[in-house]
Amino acid sequence: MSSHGDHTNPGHQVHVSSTSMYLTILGALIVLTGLTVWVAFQDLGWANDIVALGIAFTKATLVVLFFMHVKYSGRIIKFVVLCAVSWLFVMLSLTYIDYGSRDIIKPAATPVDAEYQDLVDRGYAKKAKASASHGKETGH
Amino acid sequence: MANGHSTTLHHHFESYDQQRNASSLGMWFFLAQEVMFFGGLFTAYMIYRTQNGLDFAVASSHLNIPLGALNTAILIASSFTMAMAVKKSVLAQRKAIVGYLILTLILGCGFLVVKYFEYAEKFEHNTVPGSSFEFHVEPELIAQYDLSPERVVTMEKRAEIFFSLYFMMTGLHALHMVIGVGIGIWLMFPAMAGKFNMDYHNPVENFGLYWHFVDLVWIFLFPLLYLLGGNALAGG
Repeated sequence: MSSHGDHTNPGHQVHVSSTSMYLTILGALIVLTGLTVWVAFQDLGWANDIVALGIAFTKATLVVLFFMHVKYSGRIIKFVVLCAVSWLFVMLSLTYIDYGSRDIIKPAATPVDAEYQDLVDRGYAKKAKASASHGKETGH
Repeated sequence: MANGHSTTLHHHFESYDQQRNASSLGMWFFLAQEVMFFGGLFTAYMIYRTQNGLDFAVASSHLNIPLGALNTAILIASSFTMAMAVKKSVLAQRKAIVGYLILTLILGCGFLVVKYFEYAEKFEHNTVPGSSFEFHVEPELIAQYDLSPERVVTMEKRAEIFFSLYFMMTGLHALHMVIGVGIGIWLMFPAMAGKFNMDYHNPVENFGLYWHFVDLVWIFLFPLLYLLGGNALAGG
C-alpha cells in the first residue's frame, strides 16, 4: 500500500498461484465435463437438469475462484462478482415467475370488449371499426 | 524524476498497486454487464425450454455431442494455458508468457475450427433457421411418444426456435472467441517486447479474465444446448 507515491512499488498485492494448483483445477474441470456427458444419458427424470446445472455451477465456481483469482481478490471485486450473479438470478427468476404465472392469474375468458368499451366511455380510446363489427357479430 | 523512465504507469495513478486495482475493477464491471448481455439469451432459452421441453430435447439430439464435448475440453485447456500466461507475466518470464499466449490462441482457433465444422453440418442438413429450414421428426420418436400429425408439425416448428437460440447463443459466444483471439494477437507485441512484470501485467490479466469469462459461458452452453436430448431419447 504505497500511499506516499512510491512508484517503484514491488507489487506485493499480487498473488501468484502454483502451477500444480492450476493443473488440479484443469483436471477437475475435465473430469466434471466427462461426468456431465455421462450423467446426461442416465435417466434421472426431472433431476437431470438439476444435476447438469449443478455440475455447470461447480465448474463455473472453480474457474471464477481459481483461474480468475477471485478467491485472492479484494472485497470490492468479490462484491462485483456477487452483484453480477445476483442480477442474473433476479432477471431469470422474475421472468420465470412472470411466464409461469400468466395462465394462473388470467381469467378463463377475458371480457376484452367490455374493458375496451369502458375505455371508450371514459374517453381513453376511440371506438375501432373492428371492435364494432365484432360487437354486431356476437349480438351486442 | 522517479517516474521519468516509466511508461507503463499512467500519470493519473499514484502507484502500480492503484493502477492494477483500478484496472481489475473496471474489467470486472465490464464482465458484470457481459453477464447481463448473455443473461438475456439465457432467459429467452429458459422460457422457451420450460414451455417446449420435449421439442427442445428432440431438436437438441441433432447436435453433435462428441464435438461439443471436444470443444469444452479445448476451452478448458485454453483457460489453463491462459492462467499460466497471467502467472508468467507476473513473474516477468518473457518467453513463457509468449509461449502460453500462443498455446492459448492455438486452442482458441482450434475451438473455432471445430465450431466451423459443426455449423457447416447444420447448413448441410438445412437446420439453419430461415426459409430453407428443414426438420423431420424420426418415425421411431413419433411412435415412442405417440405424436399426432399436428403435434409433429408443431414439433418441427419449435425445433426452429431451438436452432435459432442455438445459433444466437453459440454465435455470440464464437464472436467473443474471435475478438479474444484478436486481442491475444495484439498482446503478443508487448509480451515479446518484455513489457510485463509484477508491477505491470494488467493487459494480460484482463485478457485472462475475458478469456475465462468466455469459457464460463461455454460451460453453461454445452449442457443446456447439447445434452438435453441424451436422456429424453435414451429410451428410443
